[in-house]
Amino acid sequence: MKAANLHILEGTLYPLLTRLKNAGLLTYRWVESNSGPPRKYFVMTDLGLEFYGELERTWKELADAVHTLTQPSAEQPSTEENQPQP
Amino acid sequence: MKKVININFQGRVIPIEETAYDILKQYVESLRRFFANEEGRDEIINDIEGRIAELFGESLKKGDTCITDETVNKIIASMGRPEDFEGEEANVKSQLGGEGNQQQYNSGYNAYANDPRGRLYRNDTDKLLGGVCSGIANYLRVDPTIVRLVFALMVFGAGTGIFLYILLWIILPSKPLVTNISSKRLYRNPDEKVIAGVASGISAYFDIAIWIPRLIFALPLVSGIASSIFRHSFWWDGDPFPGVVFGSFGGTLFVVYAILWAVIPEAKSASEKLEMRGEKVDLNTIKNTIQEDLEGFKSRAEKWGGEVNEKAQEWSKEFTSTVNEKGKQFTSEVNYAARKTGGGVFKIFGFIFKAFFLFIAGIIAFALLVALLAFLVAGIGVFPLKNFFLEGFWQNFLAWSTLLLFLGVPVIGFTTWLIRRIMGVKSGNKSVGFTFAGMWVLGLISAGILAFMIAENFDARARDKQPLTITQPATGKLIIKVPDSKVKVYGRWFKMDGLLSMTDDSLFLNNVRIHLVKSNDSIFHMDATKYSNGSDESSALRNIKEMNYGISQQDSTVWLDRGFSLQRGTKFRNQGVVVTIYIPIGKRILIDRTVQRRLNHFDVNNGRNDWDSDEDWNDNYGWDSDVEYKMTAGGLERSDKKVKTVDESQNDENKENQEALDNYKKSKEDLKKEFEKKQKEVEDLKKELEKPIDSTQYHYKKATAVNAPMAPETTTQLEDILDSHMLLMQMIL
Repeated sequence: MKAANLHILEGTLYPLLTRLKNAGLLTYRWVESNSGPPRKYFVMTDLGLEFYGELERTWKELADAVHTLTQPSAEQPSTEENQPQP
Repeated sequence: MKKVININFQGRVIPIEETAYDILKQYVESLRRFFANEEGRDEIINDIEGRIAELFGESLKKGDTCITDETVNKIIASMGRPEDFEGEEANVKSQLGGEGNQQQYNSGYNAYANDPRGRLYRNDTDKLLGGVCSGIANYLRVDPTIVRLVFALMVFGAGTGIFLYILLWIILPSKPLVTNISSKRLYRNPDEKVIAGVASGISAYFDIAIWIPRLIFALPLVSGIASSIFRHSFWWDGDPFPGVVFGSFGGTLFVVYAILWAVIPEAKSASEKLEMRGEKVDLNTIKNTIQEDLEGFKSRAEKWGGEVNEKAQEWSKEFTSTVNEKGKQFTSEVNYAARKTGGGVFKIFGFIFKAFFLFIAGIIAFALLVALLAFLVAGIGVFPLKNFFLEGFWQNFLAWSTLLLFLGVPVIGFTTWLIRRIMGVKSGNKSVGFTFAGMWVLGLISAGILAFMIAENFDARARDKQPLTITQPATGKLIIKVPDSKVKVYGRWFKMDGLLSMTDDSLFLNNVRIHLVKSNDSIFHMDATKYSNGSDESSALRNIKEMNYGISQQDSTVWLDRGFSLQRGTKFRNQGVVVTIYIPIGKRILIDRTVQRRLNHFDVNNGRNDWDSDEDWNDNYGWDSDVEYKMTAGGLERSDKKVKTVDESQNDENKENQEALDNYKKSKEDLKKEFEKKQKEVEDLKKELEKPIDSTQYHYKKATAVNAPMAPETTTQLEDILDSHMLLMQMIL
């Protein structure tokens, strides 16, 4: 994400993950870590995958639309995604 | 140089600087507040803590000996503070949950001026009783304390506050609201408190030196105590307390303090303490370039938010799971509410009890202090009397040490403590306190010894009965009077019941009692029994010998001495005189009111009831002054006619009443008859009127002629009735 020039606060990530998990879009498993407490590894559920596909489609449509609209001027700053997906 | 503590953080022991720990704690607390209404709050915070723990681990692995402020601040900066991810949160929220949680964010973490107001709720998260006040405050976007104060004033002012509150409590729905005031709040400061930290909280709120509000609160109170003590010490008439606390201006402030105490919340957590000082919750974090960077991003993201919102709402409709979720949410909310109400009741009771007990405790402590001060002043006042109480060097020494150590030390100690607290000086060493305590204990011991020694001096008791010669009154009636004193010394130092007056070298006592007894023969007798205490019988007898008490007679009037004086050198040992008057049967006696006014009986009871159960004094009769009594075979009887006359006058009144009643009845009957008569006349007139028209005029004239004199007659009659009625009423009254 950092590479994509997308600065996101870690603190915002955890509530999002929890909410997605509560919505049934994600599951997680515990993995022992040698540098700290055990870590949670999140995986998308089937429902999550389905939803992801939907989102991706909508996003593509939107991005295309924006792209077409901003093509001539081309002054739009680098894309600003607002979709926190792991 | 910083202190390092070990904490158990996410199952790992982490050495951390104390200040860094404080920062971390604040941070986690602020997160907890931010996610207060989030369903998976604990999980989120757990996750974040886990991440922080991981970062800590990395930092320690790198070779840091402990976690420093810098490390914590860096981590917090990368995690983001609540206010940093708030904007994004709002967006994501609407994206994900639909309208589910929207409401909570209407009153978001910080107040947005253009936020919709929403409805008026009772606040479930911040409440003293029902959350009415803080709900209103939330609605008006003001400090709940202000609203609470207004209500408290209404309660104390007119009492309407209670009803209004209860009404609102019933009407308004309850809802956990998130605080929406970002500015300073009024808290009580528990760190710097004398009583409850009200004054220091106020000083923090208004940014003034701490001693100013304290002085404002304390000064009238202190001056009230002082003035009341000086008022009461010389004219001691019992309870000085209500006057001090409730009567004066100081009392008003006392009540104000109590209200503020109840209304203003205590700044318990670190963030509340920061709020109290009006500083942002993240005091110790570095607000620098990183944050500004983020802010730029936030505003850009927010722009986006609007557009994304619309889309998101469309998607959210497609969620079948939303319904399920909502159902779940509802049940959990109901559970939560039920729990809260249960807790609320306890909270209310707890609060009321706390306030009550604190109030009582405060009053008791205050009363003790006042009593102590009063004793001190009284002690100083009594001190000139000490020569009449005390014997020898040791008793004098003990008296001094009692006065200075037992009474003086606490007063001085408390005063210094109060001044130090008001000025905010913290005492560094406890030795001063120990010294004071030690001195006070010494004072206590000397007071005990002194009391014991004095009690020893009062141990034995003796009395001496001497007949007083009187001539028999020619009228058969004896009048007892006490003359006006030639020399008047009014409380040069001190006035106490029984001690009439004192000068530096003599003490004048009027401890004289009068007993009326039936005489065995046919003449009046009088005798005076002098009694005194002493350390043993001989000293008690010696004390009696020093006493001079006599009478003088003028015809049938006997003048009793006003009292007896103790010369310097003689000690006060509960000396007293009982004048016994033997009244023969058939003779009368009158005791003037000067006797009761000028003689004063008191008794220092040493616990042994060996005195009053003695002799024939049990047969004595009670008497009132200025009443003539007659001795009969059956005992002493009032010889005045007062009682009888009262009866007679009552009878008279009754008779009058009866007469008035009769009059009234009679007049009523008369009136009835009169009325019937008139009615008949009227009917006659009517009949006549119904006759042919040509005669109408005449008859009409006649009718008016009949009616005209009738009117005044009836009014006079009525007046009569009224008069008699009034008379009757007066009689009854």
